[in-house]
Order: sequence, then structure tokens, then C-alpha cells
Amino acid sequence: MLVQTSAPVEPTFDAVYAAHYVPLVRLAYVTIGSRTAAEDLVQDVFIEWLRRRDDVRQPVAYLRRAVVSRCHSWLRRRILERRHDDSRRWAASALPPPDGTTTAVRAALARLRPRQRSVVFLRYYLDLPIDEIAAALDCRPGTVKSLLHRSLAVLQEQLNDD
Amino acid sequence: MTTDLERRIGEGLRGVADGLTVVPPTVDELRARANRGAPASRRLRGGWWPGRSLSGRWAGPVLAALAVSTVLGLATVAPGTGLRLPGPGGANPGVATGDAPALPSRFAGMSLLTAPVSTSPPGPAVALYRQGSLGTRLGTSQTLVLGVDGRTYRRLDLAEERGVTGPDGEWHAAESLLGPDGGQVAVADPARLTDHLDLVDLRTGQVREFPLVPPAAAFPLSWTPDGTRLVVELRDRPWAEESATDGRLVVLDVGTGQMTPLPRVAKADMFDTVVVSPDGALLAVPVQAGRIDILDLAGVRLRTLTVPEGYHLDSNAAWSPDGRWLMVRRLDVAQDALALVDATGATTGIPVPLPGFQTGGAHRTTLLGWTGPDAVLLGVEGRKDYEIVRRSLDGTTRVLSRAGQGIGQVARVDDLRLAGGLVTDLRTGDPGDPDRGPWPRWWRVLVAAGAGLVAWSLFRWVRRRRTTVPGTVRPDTGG
Repeated sequence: MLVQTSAPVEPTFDAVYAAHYVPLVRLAYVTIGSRTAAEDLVQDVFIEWLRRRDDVRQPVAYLRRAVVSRCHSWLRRRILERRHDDSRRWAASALPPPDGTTTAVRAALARLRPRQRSVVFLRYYLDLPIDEIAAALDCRPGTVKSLLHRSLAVLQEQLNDD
Repeated sequence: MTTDLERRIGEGLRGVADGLTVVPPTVDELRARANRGAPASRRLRGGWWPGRSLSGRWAGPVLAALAVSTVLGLATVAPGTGLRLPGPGGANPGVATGDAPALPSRFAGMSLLTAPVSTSPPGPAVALYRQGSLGTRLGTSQTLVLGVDGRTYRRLDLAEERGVTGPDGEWHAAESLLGPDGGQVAVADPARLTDHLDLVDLRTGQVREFPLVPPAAAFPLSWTPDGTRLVVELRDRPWAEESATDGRLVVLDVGTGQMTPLPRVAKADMFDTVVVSPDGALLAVPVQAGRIDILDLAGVRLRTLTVPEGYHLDSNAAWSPDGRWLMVRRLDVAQDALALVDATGATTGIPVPLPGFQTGGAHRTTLLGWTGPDAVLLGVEGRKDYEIVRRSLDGTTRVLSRAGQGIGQVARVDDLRLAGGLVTDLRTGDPGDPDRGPWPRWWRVLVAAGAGLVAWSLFRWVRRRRTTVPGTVRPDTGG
């Protein structure tokens, strides 16, 4: 019986997991700045989806919203760590030596608020339209535009310094 | 269309994110964890932070304390940071500004020792603003009022105390709105349900409470020009930043405490505001994108205005003193711009945006008020200083006042608003040394303790010398 009820969902889960796990980890990483926590958060979200898959009709939108929401919950719990470790976490990441643009964007991300980082990633990395970003953040399109506007001011400033 | 800036941002983001090697766990592993019903995240339950020991949980508070200590130290030794620790009061009154409300040509640097309104009321204020960074409690962020003499600064402690931790994890002061004569400030909590809204009298420091029944999240939007009524937005659930819930508008009579709801009227967007006409008889309410309704104070719609695409009514000082124009701002992705909408509904074809009013994305602009029918005051968040600029509708610009924001914008100025009824009479100049009121109690205790420690050390040193010097027998060094 279990196999019969879950069978139609399995391919969908596999396909969505294969296509979206990595981008969602990167979304969480850009938002909170911690790779380990980003992976944990995204795994949590996929597991939650597995448990509630009958209730979820638009899995990709659900996953994005859940990741953004959990990122912010995580940040609230770790407020002190975030205040003092944000920039250092990005700076200390064991990543390849960045080019000038990457360095500037990384520095700008450290100056943005977490919600702004989410918006920037969704817009300029995933190329999502404003409406889908608004759905992911559970806000209005006008709010997304405003967040982007403020974020771009910081990014522009940092990139001009580059 | 993708601009060069957006292309570079995309490249930079890929550089940041794609360098991250991500190895997904297998689907079977995830399913197994889901079926176990165990906590989804194993590493999140303690010790997940790489290389972090149990004692590391004190690192945050310790670092915060160190940060505050460092800021205090910097403030003491480095005036260039924009932070100052002055004496208890200004001694030099500087250039007399008469009875006219004054703006300093340069705001005094931010101080951690500014007295609160509750214990040292400043009298009527010309400006209300936030300054600082890192939130209010552990950081340096303050809510400040500047007296009409241009030199009296006080912290609006009620707004700071009634703050809340926002969705970004930082402490945000409660919303506050300066009355048109500068004599009172409305303080309300949009981020949580409360059973009252407060009105602070800046002349006495006393607070009047206006009950909210049922409790609501409240956001003060706009005063009537005579300061007798306040338009407030109420929500049934906490207004988290960027929340999509709708609110309802009420008009609070601060004389009687009576709240009159505006039936079936709600703002379209959280960044929009409601503006009261110069005669206090009309309200401009953005009810949907591209549409502003003009209502009377009973909520009856008189006419509807069309707003250029992408523009928002986001300043409660938007209505020109002659009642003709509403100034709207474009909240576009990369650029600010201002435009006029004919509030009478008679004129169309107004140039959009206004010539000379475009600002770069890095310099956010806020409308602070109208100095006359053909000129406005703008707050410009520059990279180095915050500037208050007078700009004529023909584009002529003059900087009236600047506020330093310190190294790394540690004293960043935000949400500055002027008392609406004082804008036309404003004068600028050097008002003299800032008056920050008496030192706060914690600082007096600290100074007294420090002085006591020094005195005690000195006393011990002197006593040791007196008891040892006369009879000192130095060890024989030979020779």
C-alpha cells in the first residue's frame, strides 16, 4: 500500500531534488554565509517536504519559501554570531581565489541584510522574475523592487570601488 | 534589459556561489531520515558550528561587549569617527538663531552619552532621526530628536525601548512620528501587537497612552497640520517587515483619544504612506499601484489620481503647501526619481521624472518637506555625509545641512524627518556646541567607579611610600 500511494510522487521528488538541491544550498549560503548551516537547512526543507508532500502543490516555490524562511529563523537564533562573524565567514571560506568582481560582490553581500541577500540571489543568480521572488519571500512585488533598489545601491557602490 | 551593473552582479554572485562545492546526500538517505521522524538536521543540534566548542557560545556576547568597549574607546580618542563623548552640556551657544527653528549647517557627531527625553526633555524639536548601526541594544543605533535651537540633542528612549528584533535579526526601534510643531512624537509598534499607542510630549517628557482595542500592530503615518489628529495604520497581526497583510486606517484625535476608522480604505503597499492636505481636510491614500484616492477625513472618496508607473507616495510631506501637488518617488531597481501629481486632478502631462531630480542608486533620496510652492527639502543619503538639500522645482540645488556618518558609516543617519510645520521658517547656521543634556546614569556610575579606583590606588601608593621610605633599608649591593 505504501508503495502504491507514494509511487506517483517519487519521480517528482527525485527530479526536483536533483535540479534544485544545489541552487537552494547556494541561496541559503549567500543568505546566511555559513556553508554547513546552509546544507543543513536545505536538507531540513527537503525532508519536511517529504513528510508533507501531499500538502505541497508547487514544490519549487514551497522549497524556496521554506529555505528563505528557515534562513531567517536561523539568523534570529544566531544573532550575536551573525553580527560578528558575517564578513569573516565569507572571507574565510575555503573557496578558490576570487576575481575583482567576486570580491566586490562578496563585500557588498556582507553589508546587506539577509533578506536583501536572498532577493539579490534570486534575481541575479536564478534570474527569477519579480513575482516569483515575491512568492518566495511571501511579500508583494513592490517590496521586492524596493529591496532590490536598496541592495543595488550598495552593490553599485562596492563595484564602483572595485 | 540587463545593464552592465546587473551583469557584473550576476558574475560576482556566480563567483561567490559557484565556488561552493556541494555534494547532495542521496535521496535514500533523506528518505530514511524523514521516515525515522528524527530531527531533520543532525548537525544543527549542538556542535554544528565548525570548530566551535561549548565555551564558544560566550564568544558572541564577549565580542559584543568588546565591540561596544571599542566603540567607546574610539569615541573618546578619535573624534574623526563621527562619535563624540562631550561634557554634560554645551557651553558655547554659538550664533543666536532667534526664535526661528534652526538647522545646524553640520549636525553634531553622534554621542553615546546623549541624555534621554524622559529625564531631560529638549522642548520642541525640528528633526527626528535614527543614527548608528548594529541595532539599538548591542550596537550604537539611536533614535534622536534635535531641538528647534539646532543644538539640543536627546535620545527618544521610549522608541528605543519599545523596539523589537526584526526579521533580519537586528534590534529595531519602534516607529516614531514627529508632530508638525515639533512638540510631540507619536510612538507605536508595528512589529507586535500592543494595547496602546504613545504620545511623547517633548516639552515635559511625559507620555500619554491611547488604548488600542483590540490590541493591534500600529504604524503612525501622518499628522494633520494642526497637530490635533494622527492617521494610524492598524494591523491584526504583527507587521513583520515586508509582510503582505493588509491594514486598516484610523484617525486618532489626540485631544479626545477618539479613533475614527476610515471605512473600507487600506494602503496598497507597505512603503506607501498616507498624506494629509495642507488645510487638514483631505487625505491622499495610495489604494493600488498607480492609483491614489483623495478622501475626506470621514473616508469619503472625492476623486482618484493616476500615478506614473513605478512611482510611490512614500513621504508624509508630499503635499505642496498650496495644495496643488503631490510629490511621488520612483522606487525603481537602480535609480531614484521624483515626480509631481496634480492633487486637484486637473492637470495631466506633467514631465516625469522632474528634471534634475534623478539621483543615482547609491544616493537614496527622501522628501522632507516643502519650503514653498516651488522648492522642497530632500534628505540625501550620501556615501560620506547625509545631506539636507534645498531643491527648486527647476532643479537648482543648495546643501543646507550635513550630518557625518563616521568611518564605515558607524553613525549612519536614517529615517530623518522634519517637523512639518517648521519647514518653511527653517534657518541654517552654526548654532554652537551641542547640548546633549546631563550624562546618563550608567556613565556617571562608571566615571565615579573609575575615579574611585584611581583614588584608592593613589591612596595605597602614597601610604606605601610613607611607610617604607623613612626606614627603608636597601639591600647591600656591595662595593
